[in-house]
Amino acid sequence: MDEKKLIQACINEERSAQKMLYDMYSPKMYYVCLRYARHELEAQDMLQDGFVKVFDKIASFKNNGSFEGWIRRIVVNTSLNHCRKRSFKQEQIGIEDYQDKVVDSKAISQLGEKELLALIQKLPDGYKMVFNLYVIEGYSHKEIGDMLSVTESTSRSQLAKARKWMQNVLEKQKINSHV
Amino acid sequence: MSEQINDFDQVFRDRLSEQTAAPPPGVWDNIQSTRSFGHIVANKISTNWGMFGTLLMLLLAGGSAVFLFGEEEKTNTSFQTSTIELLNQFSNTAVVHEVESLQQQIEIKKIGLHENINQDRAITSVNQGRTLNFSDKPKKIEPVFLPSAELIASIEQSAFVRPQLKDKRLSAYIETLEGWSEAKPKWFVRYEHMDNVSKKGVYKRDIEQNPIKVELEEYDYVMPRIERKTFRERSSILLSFTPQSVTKMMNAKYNLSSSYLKMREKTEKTRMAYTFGALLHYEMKNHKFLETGINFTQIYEQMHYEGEKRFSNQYDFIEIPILFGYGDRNSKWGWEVKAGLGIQVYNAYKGYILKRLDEFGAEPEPQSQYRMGSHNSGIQIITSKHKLSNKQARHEVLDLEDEEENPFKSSGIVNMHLATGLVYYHSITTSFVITPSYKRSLNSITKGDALFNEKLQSVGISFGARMKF
Repeated sequence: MDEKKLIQACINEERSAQKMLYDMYSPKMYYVCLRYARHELEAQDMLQDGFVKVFDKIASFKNNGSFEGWIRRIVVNTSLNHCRKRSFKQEQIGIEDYQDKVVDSKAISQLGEKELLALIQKLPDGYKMVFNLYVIEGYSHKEIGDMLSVTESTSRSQLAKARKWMQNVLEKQKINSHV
Repeated sequence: MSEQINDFDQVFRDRLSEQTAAPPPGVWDNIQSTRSFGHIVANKISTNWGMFGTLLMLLLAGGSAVFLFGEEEKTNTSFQTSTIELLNQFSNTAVVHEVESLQQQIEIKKIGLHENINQDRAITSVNQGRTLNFSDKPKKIEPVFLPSAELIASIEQSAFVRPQLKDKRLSAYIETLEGWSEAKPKWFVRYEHMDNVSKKGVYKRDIEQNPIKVELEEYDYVMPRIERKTFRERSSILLSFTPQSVTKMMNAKYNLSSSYLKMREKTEKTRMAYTFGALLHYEMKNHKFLETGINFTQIYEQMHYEGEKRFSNQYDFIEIPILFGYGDRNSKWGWEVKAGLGIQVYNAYKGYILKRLDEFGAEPEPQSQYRMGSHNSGIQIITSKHKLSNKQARHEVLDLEDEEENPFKSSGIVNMHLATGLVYYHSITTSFVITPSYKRSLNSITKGDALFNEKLQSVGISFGARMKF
């Protein structure tokens, strides 16, 4: 079944088509959710809410862009909403204390996907959202500012702090492994 | 530094952007259960709210039209159905015979139309019984069609003109009937139905086989009286609460100094006034109504003099109002205006008012006898105790509870009422009314021998509930 027919079948609320679409895109989207979530259960909630929205709004999809990109935007926005519901400010406490260290990309490159994902998941929500949006999704600071209702400079500083935070965590892990 | 940052970011981008992970199967089950039938319907409505909104509006408009005009249509149908049934049973049914007879009379005896009518009238006058004479089959015809009250009401809305009947003969005949100028809309409906039956030419064979003679009496059939609404159907109880602002209008009589009244006006301040009403609301014809019952009004006021409160007063009035009003409604909302008179049948007063200035020194009394010893001047205004402040000399005031000193009437005050308001028809039996109202006494509330005239006027907003019983 080609994409257009699949979409039309989903608009017609055909369960088999919806399942097919879910099977096709859910693995990628689940990983997107994992990057924003703190744990798997939360990622599953995000994925579930995201796909409910996808099926609800599928009739509004215009065939002038990537369907996967459209689904991804919905899933990302749903994940952001989940993050916003959490205590955003509380989790930033103490972050300002991190010393300004040089970012060590070599240490990062030695990590596997699971470690990288775990590192992102440990990020405080404010940092996590900006880091994911900028680094992995490829949004600009202006777009992130619009999405998160913050200024561009806030987005920039959050990203810088996210990097430093991760650097600091890696540093600690390194020290612990030596000890 | 920036290169290091780019490398740092690139590691994440390369390793994570295209990663996948299989979600647990329970997620799909949850999605399915979340997207229930109700969810899908609600989603469709919210997505296409414009279309559904338009559809809903059309349905509402259609429903309203059916509600407003459907009754008429239904009635017409029932009339025709009933007529057909009746015609099948009796070939000499009133309507058919009327039409046929009219045709015969008017077609065959064009010139003799008036003669026939006169003859009919003569027969009617002789035949005091209200049976119908159809050749050899006299039958008392039962009304088979009554236009509904709604239909009549809708017709009453329109101009009071004679219908344009297609059948010229019928038209010519009914023109000759007496009392046409006083005809009621329901008659128009009758004749229009007769007109329709006549035009269709149905049952012609039956009519031909059973020629009959029309009599004026038959028109009782086509002009049935609509049952009037009963007293209970027209009546409802209006319970209302009206907080209001009261103003006193005082005029001096004889040689009384106006400065006394000015001082009273200056010092007596109304603190609170309200009216509880229990009225019978009776609907009359053409959107008019009558209201009557009992109003209980309480006015609390206090007198501040030389910067302190000296005494507080309470006025209780029981009034029987008779109000005449007009109102109209549109679906759930309506409006009304009403005006009328009310007679205060019982007035009670508690407290004091100042005596006139020149009387102060006329009857000097020992202070110890007339001053309240240790009364707390901070007494609450809304209380059954209306006492003087310890700084207020007793001989300077009139006790309103003392019949001889009290200058106010105990009854016989006539008030004028004006009000206009909004009505919300909550259900068939209950409606709510909010009514700004104005009231003023037409005659003085003081006794004839008082040295001044005093009238009260009040402006308030009435909150009421009207219930049918």
